[in-house]
Amino acid sequence: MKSALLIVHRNIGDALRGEKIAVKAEKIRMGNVQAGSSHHQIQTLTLEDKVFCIIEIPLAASRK
Amino acid sequence: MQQIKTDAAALAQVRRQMRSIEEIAQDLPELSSSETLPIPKYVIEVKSHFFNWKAGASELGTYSPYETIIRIMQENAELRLENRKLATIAAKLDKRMNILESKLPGEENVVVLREITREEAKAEIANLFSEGQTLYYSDIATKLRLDLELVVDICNELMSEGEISVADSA
Repeated sequence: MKSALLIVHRNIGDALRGEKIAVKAEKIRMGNVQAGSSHHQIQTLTLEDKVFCIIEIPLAASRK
Repeated sequence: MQQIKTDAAALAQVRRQMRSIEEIAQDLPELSSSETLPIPKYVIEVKSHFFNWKAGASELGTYSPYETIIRIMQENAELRLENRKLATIAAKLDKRMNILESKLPGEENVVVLREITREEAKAEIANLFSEGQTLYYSDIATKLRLDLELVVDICNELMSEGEISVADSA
């Protein structure tokens, strides 16, 4: 069984990298769209106030 | 755009193939007929104008009936063209507005989080997993209308208890 230990990063400058990240925040400001190839556009946004982010992992009931 | 071209072609055809005044007047619907659709005002005007003109009692200015018919039909075709153009613009604007609206945090997207106890939330999350689904934190938070942070916390607890685990597909 893979383990999932929650480490909370609070320091300014800490980064998150993942394929899918769930977020919540009081303010979400949409940024610009950075054009890449036609199928790979990157969009930026800024989260402000009471921000919480978590790198998503697919979860399922354990096989017993 | 194709429709606009078709209308323009139809207008040109009307101009080319306009029949005699007598034939046109014969084709106009009877004013007394009980039609399900109302007779357009211009048809009544043209027919009335034609018969008055024939009787030498036209009061509609210097236009002959033929000129009146051409003028009104041209006007009608131009208005139809204009209408098509406006409909095309309206459709484009509607499409753009839908895209913009979908990007705004609309009222439909506002979810009121439920205020339930931690134990109740834990039971509901466990119940969700018992259905055999593979879920992300955000899926659970959305489905159960729970705070994301609470969901993450409870899922970690369930993982430490061995109730759930990272799906094999990960």
